[in-house]
Amino acid sequence: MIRRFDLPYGAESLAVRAAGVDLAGIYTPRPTLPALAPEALIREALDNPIGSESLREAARGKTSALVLIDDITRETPADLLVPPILDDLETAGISADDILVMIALGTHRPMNDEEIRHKVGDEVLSRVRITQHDHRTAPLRDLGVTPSGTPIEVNEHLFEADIVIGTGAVVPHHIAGFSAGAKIVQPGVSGAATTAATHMFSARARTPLLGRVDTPVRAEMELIAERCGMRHVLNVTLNADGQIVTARFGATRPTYRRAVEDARRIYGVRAPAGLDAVVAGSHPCDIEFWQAHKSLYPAMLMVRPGGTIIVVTPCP
Amino acid sequence: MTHPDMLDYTAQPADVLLGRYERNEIDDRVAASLAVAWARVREYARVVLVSDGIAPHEAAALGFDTAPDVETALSALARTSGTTPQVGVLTHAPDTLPLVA
Repeated sequence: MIRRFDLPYGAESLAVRAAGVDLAGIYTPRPTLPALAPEALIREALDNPIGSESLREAARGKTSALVLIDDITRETPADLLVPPILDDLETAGISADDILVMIALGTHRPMNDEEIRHKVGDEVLSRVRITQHDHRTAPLRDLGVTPSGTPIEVNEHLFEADIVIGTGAVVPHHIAGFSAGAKIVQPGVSGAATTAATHMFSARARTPLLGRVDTPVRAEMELIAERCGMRHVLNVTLNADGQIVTARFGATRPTYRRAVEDARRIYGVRAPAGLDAVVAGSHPCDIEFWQAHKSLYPAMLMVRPGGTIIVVTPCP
Repeated sequence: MTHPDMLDYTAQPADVLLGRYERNEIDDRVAASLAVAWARVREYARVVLVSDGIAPHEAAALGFDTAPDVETALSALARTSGTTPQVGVLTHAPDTLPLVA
């Protein structure tokens, strides 16, 4: 019987001695080797689109483009993902002056200059304009409501570009099931009213949406992204060190689902349900409870109703 | 904490929060949706926080219990359970997707 275990705790590790309980198992993400040549992997993805034409073909004849990237709260390496997208857009005939990269902050705080430089890299900064979606000040276009009643308010820039390309990394997510795909538009570049409404679909659910593909939230996100004209995504999966493992490009819906299959192999761990208690370490989401709360939902999948979830988090 | 004002209402039951949300009584509607999610977890299972950075009064505002360390939390669990409790450990919970049968 297991009697002790180690738990990451910020920069340290806690050695825990478990007395009086039966340790059913210790579950940790499996180590995953990164792609040896991530740039070549991304190139291969762009040249082998899923469910769509290639980016170069899609951009031909267009005169402007918008590339959406996530923010500093995500590990997505925009410095690797954006340059080959720019290459294809320029090859198709779109001038760099007519390409805009927008940081999809959702309702997060704006990034400072140093954070932007770290996120996108010097090459992207020198090639194209960068802007941020600040939901408090951004010009929003009102597109009415979805059939489910979600108000659609989205950044006006999406309608000024001839082609919109989303990027992102797929990880398990408690609201959307997984991150990425159409999520770069909603909540990424949407108004707060839209985001609150889609989040509430998850809050109303009686069982966790974590790890599910086709959720009510995802349906709203995909509908909104389509209404805004985002037809293509470049989605990657990352290992625990933030290195690219897989890359997929193509039409938003099938490409996202293919990337989810990749993510399941990386993050999925066979585990029992119905346990009396689950000890949930918050690493690497240790900064504050707004991040550490992500520990609750995987634990909820394993614990029995009325059981106990012990969240272990430094939150300095 | 991001959205610090939400601590004023995070301990409320999910259905109460949903009602307040639908009546537009909570200004920060994104935070309100997360508060409902936390309430759902709390209504499903007891939540115990072990944290140097979250004060007991903040944990109480979240509707959670606290323990000074994991051993103390597990000992309390063992004392109050009729049988030896079965416990699982997620070392990197936010980055783990339990595939349960």
